[in-house]
Amino acid sequence: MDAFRKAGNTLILTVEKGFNAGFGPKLNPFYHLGSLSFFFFWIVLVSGLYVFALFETNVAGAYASVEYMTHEQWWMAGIMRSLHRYASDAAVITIFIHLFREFFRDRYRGVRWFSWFTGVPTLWLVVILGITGYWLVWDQLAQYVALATAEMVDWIPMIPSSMVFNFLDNQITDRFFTLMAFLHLLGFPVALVFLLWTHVSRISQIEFNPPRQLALGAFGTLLLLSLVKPAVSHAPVAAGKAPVVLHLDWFYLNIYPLVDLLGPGWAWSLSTGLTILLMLVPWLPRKKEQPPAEVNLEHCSGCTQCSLDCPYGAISMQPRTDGKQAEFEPTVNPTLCTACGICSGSCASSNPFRMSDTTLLTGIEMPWRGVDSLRIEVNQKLANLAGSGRVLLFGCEHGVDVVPMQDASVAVVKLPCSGMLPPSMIEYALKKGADGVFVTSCRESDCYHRCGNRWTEKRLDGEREPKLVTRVDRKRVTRYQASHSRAEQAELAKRLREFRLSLQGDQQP
Amino acid sequence: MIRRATIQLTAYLVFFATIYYFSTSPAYHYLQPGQAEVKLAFKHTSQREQECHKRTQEEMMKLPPNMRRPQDCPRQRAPIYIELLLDDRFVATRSFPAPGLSHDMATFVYSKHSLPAGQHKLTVRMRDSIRKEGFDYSGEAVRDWQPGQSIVIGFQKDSEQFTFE
Repeated sequence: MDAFRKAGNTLILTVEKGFNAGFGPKLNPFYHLGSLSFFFFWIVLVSGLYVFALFETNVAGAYASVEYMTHEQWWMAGIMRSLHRYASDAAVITIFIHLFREFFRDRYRGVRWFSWFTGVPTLWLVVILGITGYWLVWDQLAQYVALATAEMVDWIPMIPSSMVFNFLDNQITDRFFTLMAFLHLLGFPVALVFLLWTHVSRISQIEFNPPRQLALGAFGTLLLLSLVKPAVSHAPVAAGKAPVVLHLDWFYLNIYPLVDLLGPGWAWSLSTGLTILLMLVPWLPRKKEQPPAEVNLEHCSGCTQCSLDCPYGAISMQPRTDGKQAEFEPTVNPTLCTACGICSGSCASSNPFRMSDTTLLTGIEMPWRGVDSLRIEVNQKLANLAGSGRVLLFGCEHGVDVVPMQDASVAVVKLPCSGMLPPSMIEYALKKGADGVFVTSCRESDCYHRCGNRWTEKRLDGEREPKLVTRVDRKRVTRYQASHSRAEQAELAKRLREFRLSLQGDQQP
Repeated sequence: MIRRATIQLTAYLVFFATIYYFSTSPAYHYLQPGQAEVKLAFKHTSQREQECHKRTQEEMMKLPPNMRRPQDCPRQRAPIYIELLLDDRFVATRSFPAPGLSHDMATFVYSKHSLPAGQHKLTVRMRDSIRKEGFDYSGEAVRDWQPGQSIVIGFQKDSEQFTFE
């Protein structure tokens, strides 16, 4: 599994690199797959509402009303119908890339299992919603889909085998058709909203909207597609006629040829088996995780910054229990904490200049990687540095590999996330003998821990607490956001070399 | 700048082309050209696997008072066995067990097959009892089946005859 995931990760990083060259990290669609999916749902919703206004929800009128939209009012309803279809297709694309990407980037196990687990039924519901949409046109494709779906339902042992008899020779009743319309228009969409809410309920700082330029680009493409290839219906349902050639929407209707080929039993087995396997993936194997963050109330001022910075909503502020003047204290939910350490970096008490003669304790920190252990490592590494242009390199372990950069003049300190680095540690390293400090994070918009790189940038730019103090000479601090790849490693080496040269230049009289 | 624009344009083009193609293609041939479809579709209650028998006084006395019915009718019904022939050649043979926990409910017979279009004799035979040989019902129709035609073979309960519609 590890080898497969690593191979997939290399592939996806290579593709993303190409996209970064074209779009830049801010607009790279691979970094906005979730919000793009939401955006496509908005298009589906708005276009669907318009189409519904002109749609006849009965067997006799449905086909004619869709034909009217497609051919008579093509300039509005026809385009809306096409947008409705193509945005649905686009959502399947982004959802599947999102699924594979999260798997390859190993962001689906451990504490993060919940989003993956709830994502699988969400995907199913999206597909079912799409399938029921095709029923409503009530053309030959709809009849085929209805009949094949009924064959699948009839296969289920405990259900009386009679559903298929509803669709033989156009026998469908208005009542059944209205039920399908209700499910597509209200029942399934409401269920989908609930599942989507569940899917994102364990994270914070959620990006619901993609960057405007990307949204415009995607919408423009779908609009162009709607004009170039308007969505059309198949022939109307006719008694005594079987469909011969069907133009299936393979994004949604791919299971039906499988039903024809293997029978409903195999189709059920394959789809159910795959679903169960997908849902169990987070435990195949289970991820070994570090213990969650711990709160030391006697060092906590109740400033709430850790709660604001946590990308997983694992920290909530509760009324103070220790009688201190502060109003709140943080409480960590261990089932949500990924042990990224961002809270530790956000804590004002994570200041290495404090408690210099004793063990440094901070308001919130990782029991396995406290700020004290970080300070000890920084001191040890600085003591061993030699030569001119001595650099302390803080490297995020999910970004570019920093270990090969180590030499006599460059020391490396690895962090689970760059967001774990308190800005005061940079000032501390410079005061304790480093000529410069280099900080690496995950690629912009693609932080393994969602927000770590963003918070680091803002802290170092003085835009977010805790800020890097202004007295620190900015020429002696630099940073680089990069993914784990050889090309980016070479770029890091180059930037490090240049940084050291600039430091040496400043040191010369 | 040009490189950036080219990459973006290519990406949107790939996005466009993927949806353009897979939203309707490749075409799926549900029926091959020159073929018709026949569906066997009807509901039928098959015969009981065992005949009812009249209980003796001795058998009655062995039962609890509220279950002493004079007739003993085992609920299980025979599976329905169907043969479909085109011009006296087998197209399909299928057996449909009676549904229900006790296999005592009416059976929904449903199966679909593709056939070459043209002038053909279609024969259907059904066995709904525990007999090993022969059939309880049969029917046939000679028609000029059109390509793409859908024929539904039903069974009229009252007249005990197959219908070809």
